[in-house]
Amino acid sequence: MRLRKIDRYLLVLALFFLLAVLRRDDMPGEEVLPDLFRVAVHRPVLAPIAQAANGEVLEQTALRSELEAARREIRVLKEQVQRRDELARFFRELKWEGRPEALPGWVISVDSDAFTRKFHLSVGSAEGAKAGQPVVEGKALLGLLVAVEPNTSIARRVDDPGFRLEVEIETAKGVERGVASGNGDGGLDVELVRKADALKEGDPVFTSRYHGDVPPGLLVGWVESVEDLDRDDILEVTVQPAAALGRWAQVEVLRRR
Amino acid sequence: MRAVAGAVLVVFLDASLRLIGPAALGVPALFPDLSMLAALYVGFRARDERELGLALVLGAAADCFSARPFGHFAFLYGAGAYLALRVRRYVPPDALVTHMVASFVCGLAMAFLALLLAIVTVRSYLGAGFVRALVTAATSAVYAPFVFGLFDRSRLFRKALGGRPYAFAS
Repeated sequence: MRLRKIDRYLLVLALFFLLAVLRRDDMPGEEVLPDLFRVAVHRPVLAPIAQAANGEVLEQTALRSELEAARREIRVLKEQVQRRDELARFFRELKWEGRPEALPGWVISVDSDAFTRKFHLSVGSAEGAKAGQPVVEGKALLGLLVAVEPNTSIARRVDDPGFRLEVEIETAKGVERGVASGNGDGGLDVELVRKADALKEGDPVFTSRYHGDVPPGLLVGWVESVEDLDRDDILEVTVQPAAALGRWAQVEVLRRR
Repeated sequence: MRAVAGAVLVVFLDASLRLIGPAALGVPALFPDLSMLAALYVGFRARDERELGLALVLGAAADCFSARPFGHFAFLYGAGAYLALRVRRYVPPDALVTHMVASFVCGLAMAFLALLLAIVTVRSYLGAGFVRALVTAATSAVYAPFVFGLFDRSRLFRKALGGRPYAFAS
């Protein structure tokens, strides 16, 4: 039997229709337009093209990751600049002979001794650090340097039992002075404070103006409790440190310029 | 051979433009179906059914670039080209509107055939798919004269389709 051209063509069409119907299990569950790069991996002939396209996609992904990393770095740098600006503004407000200069550093380790509260800094004498200089976190006093090496130093935290510093408590009626010492447990005790009715919880505690290396006006903390247990008119004051102890990584050492 | 390579090139271009064009414009439905227009062009230009084989090649190439079961586009484009060959005998010679109307009629028929295939195969998203096919048929019909002109100028299918310059001139 000899088929006409039109019959042969329609027969081929019917075969393609049958092929599509028989292979309907391959059909995706939704309307899909021809999508070269997503689908071609299933077609052996086109796999190399798809892989090449996939390589482009991977390269784009890598570039996107680099962009994200650069953005993160810019964000960190912006935060550092903002921090510096705040410190510079704060320094201008400080009434201290000579302009203070901040030496930025990182806390590289914390002393494991259970009876002390000391930490190691990445700032040393090469940068101009020396014992007695304050370590701050923003405007808050974190501790004082006690030993300095060429490239590192050891600082004593404000709650270390060996920490001693004269402080000023700003009350509603004036300033009361005392000597702050660390209690070894995340707080400070202020001794030798004269009895004053105006002194109350929440009053801010600052560094006093009678230190050579510590500028006045650094925030030490806030009064937590005021008591006179032995009734000798000398108050026992406990202070909550302003610095977030144990949560800092980047700090500044202040020195006189 | 040149026509087969041209068919693959057109389908590849169509698949690539679908990724770039609609995504950039945000209007996928308003983008012409170049592969479908190529199949209709073959139908309008072919002298007889023997030359419609190029439409089947276009469909097979489109199947390679598609997630649908192999044979889907070969059937649709083959049927569309066949219909275009028949329509050509009843429409007036070369005119801009003729190209558009004839392409729309054939595109409409292909949308119905696609719906028929979808009823048998995918059995879901029928309404949305059909509406999209109708919109694509209308959009492609608007672009048809320009696309056919481009195909004529490129001479990709000229030898395989009898060497005539215009679809409706014969």
